[in-house]
Amino acid sequence: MRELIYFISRRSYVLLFLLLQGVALHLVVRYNNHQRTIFRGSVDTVTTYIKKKTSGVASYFKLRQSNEQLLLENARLMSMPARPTAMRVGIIDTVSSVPFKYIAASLIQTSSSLSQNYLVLDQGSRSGVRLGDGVINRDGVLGIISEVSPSYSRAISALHRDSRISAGITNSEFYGFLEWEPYDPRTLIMLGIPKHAEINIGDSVVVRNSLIFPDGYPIGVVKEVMIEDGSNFYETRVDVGDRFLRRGSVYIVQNQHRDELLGMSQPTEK
Amino acid sequence: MTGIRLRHIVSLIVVICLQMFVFQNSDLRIGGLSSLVLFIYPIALISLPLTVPRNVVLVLGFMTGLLIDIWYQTPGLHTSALLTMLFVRPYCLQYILDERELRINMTTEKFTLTVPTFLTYGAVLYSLHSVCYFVLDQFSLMKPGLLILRILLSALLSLIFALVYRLIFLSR
Repeated sequence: MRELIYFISRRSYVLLFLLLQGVALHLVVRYNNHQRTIFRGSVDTVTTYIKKKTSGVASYFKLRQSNEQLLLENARLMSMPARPTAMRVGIIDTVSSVPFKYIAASLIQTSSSLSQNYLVLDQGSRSGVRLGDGVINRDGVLGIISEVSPSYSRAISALHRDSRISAGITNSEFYGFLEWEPYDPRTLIMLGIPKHAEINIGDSVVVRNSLIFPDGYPIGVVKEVMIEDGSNFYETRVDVGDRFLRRGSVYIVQNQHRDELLGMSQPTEK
Repeated sequence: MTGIRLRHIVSLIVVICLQMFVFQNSDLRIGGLSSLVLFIYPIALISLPLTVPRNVVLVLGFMTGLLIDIWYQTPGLHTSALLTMLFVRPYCLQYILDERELRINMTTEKFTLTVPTFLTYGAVLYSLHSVCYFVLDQFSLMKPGLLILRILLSALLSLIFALVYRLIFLSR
């Protein structure tokens, strides 16, 4: 402290000049239109240049992470030969039993803390999105399209108290449906699986018997199995990870035969 | 001693009034060259005795510049130029004056310079003042030829005025 006071007293002339000059220059830039315009223009040019450079550097450091994500997704897609690669322009899956079309989109708004959560996507009817299409990402099912505008669409999230998605356990012929109990965004509840079916903690939960999502598409992992007294059905808690907490790329999945199939059956999902 | 100080205060008030009322329209023209400025007010401040503390001179300069800026509606321009001029003043004097002259000026209430020394001293300080003022006014280095002409002519006119003023009012 004493050194600071000594420094200030020794340099008081320079410091006072800098202070007063700072005030004067502030007045110049603040209250003269001509100078202010040029100053702001110059500052904008410099800051834009710096932001561009730092953004480039930041992207460079994220390359490894992006690369790892791409590798993981490639590996997953390669392990599912019947499912096509999704592209920005939708393509039709003619290999699997039900033809699905995939449209790549981005989540522009999402929520997970309400009792009725929605997802807003940057693709709409111009890209061929229809009511009732499914929304998935690389980790699993996300929701079902409920509103469509020309450029955007809105989906009921699986984290919606009215959401029901048909699901079952891998390697099991039984299926039930998934619901959500507010407010845990990492857990869905699977109901309707009869108690004589075998369910173990750690089993994979996938889409079953759905007109919206491809059969076998991942949903989550069983983390808790319960049977209420007097009930003949399991109440299974399914861990869906943190995919509802993240934004990013998603796919809109369209069953090309849905209208035809709906004419013959009652919808069970919403 | 009080008389000398009073004379400097009166001198400062006089030059400020001259700048504000007599040379109210500061935009001078020579031939086709417009926007020349006759800087009158600095003479009172650069003629203050060296016994006046440097910080006091800076504060006086800041207040004078602010007053002129308010009058001419050029916020900060005259203040910044005048502050730069006054900040450099002691270093300029150390360079121009020899030890004996410096010692005399440091110990007396009178600021004494020979005419040639004053011309050198004034040329340096007025040029610096003009550079600061016009660069800040234009706020870019476009048309550098015109900018330099304005700087040189304004500094020259101001220096001539300062010399005359000093010979008439401050030499006694």
